[in-house]
Amino acid sequence: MEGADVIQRQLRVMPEHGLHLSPISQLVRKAMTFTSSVSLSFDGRRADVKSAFDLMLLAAPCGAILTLECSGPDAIAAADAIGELFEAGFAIPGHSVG
Amino acid sequence: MKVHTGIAVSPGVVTGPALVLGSENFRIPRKFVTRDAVDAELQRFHAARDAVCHDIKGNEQLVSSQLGAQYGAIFTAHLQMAQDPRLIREVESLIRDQSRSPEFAVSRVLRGYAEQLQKMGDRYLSERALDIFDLEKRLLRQLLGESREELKNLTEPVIILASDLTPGETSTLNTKFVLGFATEVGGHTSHTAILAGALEIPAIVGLGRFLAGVSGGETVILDGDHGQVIIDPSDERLRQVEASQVRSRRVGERLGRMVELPAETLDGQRVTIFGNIEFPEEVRQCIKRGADGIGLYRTEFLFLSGNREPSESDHFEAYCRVVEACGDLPVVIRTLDIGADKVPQLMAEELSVGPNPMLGLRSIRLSLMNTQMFKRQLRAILRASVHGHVKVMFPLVSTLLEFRQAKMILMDVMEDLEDEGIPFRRNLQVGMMVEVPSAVILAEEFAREVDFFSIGTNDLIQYTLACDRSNPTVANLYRSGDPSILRLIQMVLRAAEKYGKPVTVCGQMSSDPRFIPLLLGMGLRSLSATPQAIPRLKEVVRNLSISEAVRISQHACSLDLARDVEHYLMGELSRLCPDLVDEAGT
Repeated sequence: MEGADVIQRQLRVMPEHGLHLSPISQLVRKAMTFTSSVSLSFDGRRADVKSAFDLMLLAAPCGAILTLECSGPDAIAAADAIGELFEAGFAIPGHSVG
Repeated sequence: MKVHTGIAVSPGVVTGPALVLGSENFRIPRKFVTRDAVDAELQRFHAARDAVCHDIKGNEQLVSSQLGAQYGAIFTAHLQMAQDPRLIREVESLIRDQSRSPEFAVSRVLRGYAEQLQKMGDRYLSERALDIFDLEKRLLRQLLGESREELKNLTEPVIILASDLTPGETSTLNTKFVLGFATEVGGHTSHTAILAGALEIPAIVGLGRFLAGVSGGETVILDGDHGQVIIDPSDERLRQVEASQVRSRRVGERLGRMVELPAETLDGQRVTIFGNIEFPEEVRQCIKRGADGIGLYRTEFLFLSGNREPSESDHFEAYCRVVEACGDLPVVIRTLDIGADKVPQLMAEELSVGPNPMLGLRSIRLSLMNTQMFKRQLRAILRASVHGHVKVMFPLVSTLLEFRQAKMILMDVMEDLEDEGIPFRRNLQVGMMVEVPSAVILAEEFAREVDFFSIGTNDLIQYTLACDRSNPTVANLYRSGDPSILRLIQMVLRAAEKYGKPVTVCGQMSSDPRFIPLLLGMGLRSLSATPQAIPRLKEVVRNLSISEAVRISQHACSLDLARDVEHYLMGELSRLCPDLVDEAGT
């Protein structure tokens, strides 16, 4: 991609069940709002953040350090937005189901 | 008569005819398609997928509007799976490149995911495999034009016995006819279990294989309180269940009317009954049952569910939701009571629990060690205090110094807020939990410094009798009726009276109707209990006079064994409110 940004970042999985359904759901929804490709890698595996199944099968446990890679025209914004979800611990006001 | 035991996930006891739903074995008619049909088959896959997405959106709306957005979120996740680019890519590739039928491709790809999740050995993820099977069934049903008609054409009440119910099926159950359900698979955190609780129908999951011996139509007792399914129950058992259902309906109706009536004794003494809550959502349950406010708002969930340290605004938002829902009624917010049995992941490292966690770094001790965190919580409590009637209390205070330190930090935070021009209520009442025997022994000294006491009986019993009730070998020592506990409560009440400070009892003792005459007789005028217990407590109060309560408490305090105290109190309760005793099944 010419002129496209590639952003890499390290993120830590905070939720105690690891990347389970609710965080995955939030990640997919967020990633879908960007045109850039967004991936998370862990333990030699790489997941497309726009795919819930990819993320589930990444099986990232609590405490895991993931590598986020965004590439495309809105890579910086995408990396910021995904990073924010991790930093916020995927908290939803109140308590979440799933 | 056959009894099967599983995991009780939604309470209640029902009796009715069995409707058996076997595992749905979709027969996939053909594995391959001809080369020239590939485009048509791809279209068939996409049409099926569109229809499934449409159905899931329907489930999402239905569940969100009936049960709330947090349950609807389950289907938001299902919708994402149905629209997943990896799924679509892999299914398309099997159809296009290997001439597989869409049925075969869908099943192969999704089962592959489920299998991988189950192999990971993570309970949480393996239960998500059920969500994947749900999607597989939905797609196959569309592709094959089949559906579980049994669930749609119900005309009379049934109890569903199934190998599994998917979350989608559970959400559309017609609760007019479905009395309850039991499944072979599933666990506490499966979405089916969560939805059953929200629908308020009795349910049991994880029974293991039991359907082979059931053909349908048999009479079944589904006991969602004890996790038991009884197939072909004996007449005696049926009569017992029916009698107790009639009774609990009658009691339920009468207790329903309690909401409107004040908690007032026969001789006109008003008693305050507060609710204990953990989540902001529970305020509604307290108000609905006529609570006088919130006597114990546990704030641990903010730390346990968010998986990161909650920010000041997380605290503030949660507190405001509770405080605003209560209007003018008081809300007692207890600061973080964590450690021992509840250690959030995020603190696991710094919080090395030690060999004896109950005697270790927990509750106020942890807050005093971690003042930044403590101040964040106090700031939020103070900011919320202008939105209603807020009080704050510190848990597990064992020395005067601890209380003074905690209060000093509160003053610091007040000063900070004042400097920043942020409004708060300076005259906010500051109290403490009495849960450690040392606090009872020094109750007079504490009474001079606190605005109120709240006796937390659970910890007080455990620390007084030196027993962990979760340890079955010593749990028999854990008795609310132990004479030592009664004496400690009297000491606190006397000290508080001397200095004119109010006392509330929270903990399981105050949710147990047996202890109400005793506590009122000792001079207590304020209780805080689980929301479900409030109507029963009101009923006891309304059937009692203070003079009688005094007589009961004097006699109870003259007994010297926990067993005798509890037996005596049970006898008095059955005289005052016979229905409540029958209902307890004793």
